[in-house]
Amino acid sequence: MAVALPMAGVTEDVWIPTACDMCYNGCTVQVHRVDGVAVKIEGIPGVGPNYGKTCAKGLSALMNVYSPNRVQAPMVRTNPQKGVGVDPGWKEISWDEALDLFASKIKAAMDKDPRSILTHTFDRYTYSVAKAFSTAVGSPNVTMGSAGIFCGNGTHPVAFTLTASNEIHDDLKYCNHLLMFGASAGFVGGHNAMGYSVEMQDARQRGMKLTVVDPVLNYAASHADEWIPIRPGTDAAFALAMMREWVIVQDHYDKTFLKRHTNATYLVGADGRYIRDKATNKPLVGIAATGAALPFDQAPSDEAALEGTFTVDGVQATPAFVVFKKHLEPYTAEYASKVTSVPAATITRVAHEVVEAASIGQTIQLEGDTYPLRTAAISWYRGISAHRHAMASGMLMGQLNMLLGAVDVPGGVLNSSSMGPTWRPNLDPDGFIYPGNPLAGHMKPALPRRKVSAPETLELQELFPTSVYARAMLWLGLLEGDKFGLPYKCEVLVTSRGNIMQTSGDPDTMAKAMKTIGFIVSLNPFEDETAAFADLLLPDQHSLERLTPLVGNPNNFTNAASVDESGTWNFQQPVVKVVEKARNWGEVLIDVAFRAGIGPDMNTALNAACHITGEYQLKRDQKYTWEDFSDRWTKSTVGADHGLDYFRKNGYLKDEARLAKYAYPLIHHGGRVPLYLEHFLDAGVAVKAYTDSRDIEWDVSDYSAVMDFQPCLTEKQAPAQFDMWLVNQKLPFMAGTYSAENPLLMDLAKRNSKVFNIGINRATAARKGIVDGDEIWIETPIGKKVKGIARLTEGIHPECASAPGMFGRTTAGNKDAIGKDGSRGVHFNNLVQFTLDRMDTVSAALDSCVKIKISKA
Amino acid sequence: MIQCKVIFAGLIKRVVGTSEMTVTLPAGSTLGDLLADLTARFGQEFEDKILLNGDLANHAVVMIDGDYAREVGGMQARLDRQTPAQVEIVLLGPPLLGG
Repeated sequence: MAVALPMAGVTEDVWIPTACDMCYNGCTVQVHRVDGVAVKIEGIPGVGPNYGKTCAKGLSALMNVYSPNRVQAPMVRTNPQKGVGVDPGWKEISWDEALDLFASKIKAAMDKDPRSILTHTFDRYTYSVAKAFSTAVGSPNVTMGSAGIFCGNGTHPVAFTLTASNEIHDDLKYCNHLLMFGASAGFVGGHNAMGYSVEMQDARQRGMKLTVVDPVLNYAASHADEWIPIRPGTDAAFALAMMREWVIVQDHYDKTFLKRHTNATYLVGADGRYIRDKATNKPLVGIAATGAALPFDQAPSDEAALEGTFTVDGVQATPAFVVFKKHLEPYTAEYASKVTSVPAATITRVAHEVVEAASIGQTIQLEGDTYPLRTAAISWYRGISAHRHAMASGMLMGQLNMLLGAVDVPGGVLNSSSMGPTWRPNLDPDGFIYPGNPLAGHMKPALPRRKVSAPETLELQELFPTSVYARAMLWLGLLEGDKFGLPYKCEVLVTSRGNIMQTSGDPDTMAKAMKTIGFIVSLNPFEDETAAFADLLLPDQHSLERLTPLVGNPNNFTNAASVDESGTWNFQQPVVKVVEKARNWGEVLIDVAFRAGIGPDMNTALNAACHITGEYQLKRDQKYTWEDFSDRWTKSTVGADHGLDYFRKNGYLKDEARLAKYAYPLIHHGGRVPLYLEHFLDAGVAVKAYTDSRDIEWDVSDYSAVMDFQPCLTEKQAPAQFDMWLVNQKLPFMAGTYSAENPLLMDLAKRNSKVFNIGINRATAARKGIVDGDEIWIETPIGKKVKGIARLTEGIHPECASAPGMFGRTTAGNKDAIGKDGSRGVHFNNLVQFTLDRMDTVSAALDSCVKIKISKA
Repeated sequence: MIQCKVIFAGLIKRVVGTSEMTVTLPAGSTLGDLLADLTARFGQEFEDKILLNGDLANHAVVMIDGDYAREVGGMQARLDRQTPAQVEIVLLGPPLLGG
């Protein structure tokens, strides 16, 4: 295969600003190019969202662009047999031939049923183009794929609930104690990875205390004041015990926040539903002094009761907080200790430390307004999400912050999309906030209440009325869609810059699902496990080759959220000559739309998906170049003076500093957030009615107004000999499977004993006769068995073994990523079970609790 | 009377069975009136896909003469700003943000 060549005959020495692409955070970077060859990448001092810093992944991106392993030309499969390890028999064809074939398959699928076309990308920057393509063909099926199994099922719905935005960001500027559950934010992980890491460093130097609860002494825990090892999947019990300590034992929580900004005072009847005003249908609150019941928006919030009993039209009712408080009663620290393995005294101590640090009752003056100052917060991410009861666990994390009053106020958890006036929260009829940001207008928060209906999407999203997505259900829709009433089969999958075979749970099940799809087009820079099922493989551009508008966008979650910080707009521009035949996948989809006869709808859909306005809108009957489209999109979003010409010259645009009213909108938006999840009750009833109607066993126990702890696995599912848990951990220098295509990062991985080896607690290993460096077998209750190499450490819970998630590769451009007998790591997802009883039927999370037994090989 | 050229894109096209049509409405009609007319023609499925609690659903994007309906009055947006009015009704797919 040919290699990208330096530009011939050019004598130069320049630094070119662009945006990184080695994870999805889009840090602003600059590339040193000498005679057409990129020789170095680094940050631009002080420039966000990464504050001029660059991680190991970003620094090493050069080693991808010049990789000899790139897909060089369009190729079509000649071997009809598909599967990992099966030679597809690729045959090179021209772009014209490839695009005509692609368009013909789209047309045929549209004639059959347009919903049968599934578009997938993990390219966050131009996901709008994938969405537009899917819209243009007339399909509801567009996805970021397997992201749902390792990310935000227990985070995004909670973020919407708390802040009406997709993501939350801890306000490290004012926080004095951060309690982190199962997350890497601030340690080159999560959203705005580098920017957040800088903020974390500043906060730690200022003296902010950090406590990390995690089964593994991960990168966050290793830098914390305290690491609390916990049994996997039990964080909910820890959280409930903390809340019990605050509410029942200490009577120390933010009552003012609950009264003014939540539904804790809304009256509920014996069936758990709100008692509503007959005239207005608004939920009623009880007034403590008079015993009267008034619509929530007509009663002085501070006079509404959190406790007591009221009678409304002869019906007895209590404030929702009474129900909430009562359900905390069983969750003593002693109970939580048995579940979590964390000593009761530790749980109690942490509860005390956090609530004391929160400074409940204190205020701060900013820009002429008085804000509550809450200097403690709870942070969480994947460790909470990757479980059978992800929604419940996530909501409990959110409720911890509510009890502290640490939501959208200085020092608390902040919404991530409040830059300027584009964040316009709306209020539903019951007074709850939901997003009004036009750039997030197509999101699916739980409020206003959504209807349950017969599935029309391959991910069965219609059965998840309180979740934001249901990505991890794709396998089920593909394999058993008819059982759920799905009226079609998937005919075409278009996948770009993602690897759903490797990043979904259980590749064996995914392989079966992929084989049900009629035609698969893969657009990627490298041949990967997903390409092993593709019929058409198209070479995508590297980020240093491509033009991508609006990579950095202050309206979304990869920018700073705190007051006085500025958001940063940036973009990707071609820095080096494009490898011979690679094309930008977004441009390819637009081309295919026109070849398939749906160009006008593609333009309309691009306008809608990208929110292109006014004179910059694409006309239906005109075909635009990628560059023209990018310029229009950029000018429409950033302003007439800031089109591509501006960004080519300057690379980035620093926005105005965030005002307090946008960073801390709680006291300004006038809305509430639900502590008591009354809207879950009817949602659960509707889901049960539909699944019962089709004789489908579907757990609705987590559709509860108050969240409880439930274990991920029952005893029956995990026989006694499987006495350990396998958990995975994040690495700051690897992101997804793409990093393994980078020889420099793989070299770094080889030098780090935490990457390819299996971490085992030293005492546990001793009991099993395992020593450092031993080859070991890891077996699961369903017969999965892999070989690994033991790494003994004190930095892991004694009942656990750990492995990073993205190794054990079987197909990769970089052959050095493929090893035998665990020499290049274990594929964690290979041991995760894709069955309905291992999935959260409320959030669609896949349970990553894997019971294992370990033996010497 | 107001002449409206209505363009459908996305999943809604399957519900209405066409990519565009012309609708005549009384003078002073609003987007809400147009959507009520279309619901009467195409049934409850049309309304279920476009509206939520009587307002535009998050994933439904409506452009009136190129302006986003949400920014020019929402359901109360008037349709008599140009003749004929051009209304594009786009049903977008599910969210792609987030990890």
